[in-house]
Amino acid sequence: MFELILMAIVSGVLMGIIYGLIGIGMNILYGVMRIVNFAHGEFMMLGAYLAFTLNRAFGLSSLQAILVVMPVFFILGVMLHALFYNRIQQSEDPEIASFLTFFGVSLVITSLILMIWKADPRSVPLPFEKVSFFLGPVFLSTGRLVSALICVLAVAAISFFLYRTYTGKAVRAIIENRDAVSILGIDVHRVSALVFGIGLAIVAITGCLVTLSFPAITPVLGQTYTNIAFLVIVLGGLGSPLGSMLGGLVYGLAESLSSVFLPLALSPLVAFVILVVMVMIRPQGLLGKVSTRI
Amino acid sequence: MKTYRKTTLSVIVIATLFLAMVPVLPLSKPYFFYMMFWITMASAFNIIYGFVGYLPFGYVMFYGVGTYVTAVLWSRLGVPLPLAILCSGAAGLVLSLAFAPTLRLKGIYFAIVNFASAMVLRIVVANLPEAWAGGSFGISLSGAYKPLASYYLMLALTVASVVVGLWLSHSRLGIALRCIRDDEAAAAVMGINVSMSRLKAWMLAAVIPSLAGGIEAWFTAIVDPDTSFNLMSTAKTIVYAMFGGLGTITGPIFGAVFMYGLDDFIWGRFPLLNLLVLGVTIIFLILFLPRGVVGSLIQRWPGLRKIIE
Repeated sequence: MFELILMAIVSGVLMGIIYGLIGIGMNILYGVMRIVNFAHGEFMMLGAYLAFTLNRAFGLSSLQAILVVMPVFFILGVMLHALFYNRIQQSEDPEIASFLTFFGVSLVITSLILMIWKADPRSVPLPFEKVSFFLGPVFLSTGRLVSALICVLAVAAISFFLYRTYTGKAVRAIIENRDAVSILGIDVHRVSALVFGIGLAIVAITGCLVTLSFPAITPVLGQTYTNIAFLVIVLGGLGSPLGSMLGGLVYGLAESLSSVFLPLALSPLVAFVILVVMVMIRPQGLLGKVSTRI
Repeated sequence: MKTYRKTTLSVIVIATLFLAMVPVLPLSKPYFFYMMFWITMASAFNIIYGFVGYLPFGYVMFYGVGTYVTAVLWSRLGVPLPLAILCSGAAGLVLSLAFAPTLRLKGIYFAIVNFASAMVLRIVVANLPEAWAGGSFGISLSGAYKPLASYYLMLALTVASVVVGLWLSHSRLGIALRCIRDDEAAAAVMGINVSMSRLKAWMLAAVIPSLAGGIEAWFTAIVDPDTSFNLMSTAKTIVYAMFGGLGTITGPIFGAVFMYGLDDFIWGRFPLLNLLVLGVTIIFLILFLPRGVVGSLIQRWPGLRKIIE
């Protein structure tokens, strides 16, 4: 039993780091633009399928695919910004408008994936000799370990960007108070476009990593990841990018520990119950400040 | 005031007579059944989103619980169907009261929590012992299959929900709800009981889809968790209501009739495109036509308010 729990904790932490990065991608859009990207998981799936095709066509591994998919998604993000941003900001309730718009986008992506890649589950061969190994008593999946390491690197890069660069400081300033920032002469529109690109570049990383950490991808899996992303960012605090890491860890641990004690079919339940309870008692999240917008 | 009431009422009477004739005419009964079903869903959704401004993204749960209560009561306890359907309505009411605390939340928080709640209910229902709720295979009601009776029951519910919407938009409650939607603080200062008015609308918006769920379970004679708690049902309800125009009475009806017709047409010919069209329609509606067809017409020619509502 002790070993089972230890293993659950290790795998919970590994998955939690990945979930955290998934959350950051969604949260940075929300923080800067109040855009609720309900198509987050579908974008991830799109990235995963691109990794699949890159592997089939050019023999690239999922890790190499990241380097290709990331710039593509960055450009996609800037384009989406140009398409939707103004319209959404002008509507009566931008948050709900963005939520519904991206729900529409999620349906479009799902149907495109279904048309291009069909409904069969797909998988990308792992680029490792050993798919899993024992570290002491703990059974580790190489794919998940590598994914978690890449996520840590990505989070470090994002933190560096947010806290050490000029533009990153502008991003944080916009999250704090977008009206004041535009008075100070920061081009909110341009920073938003950049953030949209970065947000989707993060999605690209997580999408490619999904093919490493999970055995197969299917077109309808996107919804699951959108749910996870929501949960993670609500746990960590909407609009607090690094809070997502904590949210991800809490969720990853809750998920893996509950799978030790509960039947498998019920383990998603834990996530949703945490979400509902969290929003009801502490809508600003574990790390979030009290927001005036709530 | 009086003239348009006459026009509206006569339109409702004519439409009702036509729909009542459908079973004897050489027309597809399921087609018109589902048209009425979507009119009902969109009109009820309009009460909570159009009038109150709350977006319940897990709206399907009221419908889903309605289908299951009817199916379980009839198949496991032998409750007669009309009574079981009434119980579905009661279950919707109970559910809305259980989720009443979520009305404290606003905007996207409310939408997300409602959505998550619908997911929870779906998982719970799918994992109930098979002897109770049939597990993931669901429950068959083929022994009670009576398409004609359920068709007319749906007609009654559709007319009722449209009339309720019409009544609401002129009632004290409806006016209070619009005030709250536009400026909550001002409404509270004017002496409107904000949370009570909101709760009433929420309960109303919950009972109707639960009843519709019960009737629909009877009509199709099969209930399963994936259909009963399908996110797409919420999506379609939102799109149909928005397409016509939220906050108007004719809007959701027009939206449901038109979009359901389009959906049915596409679904029959290009099943894969169905999802794509739904997605593109949502994007287009939100970005370019947030008021919907009827809403935009009224905004452009305010005089139209006298004839359509």
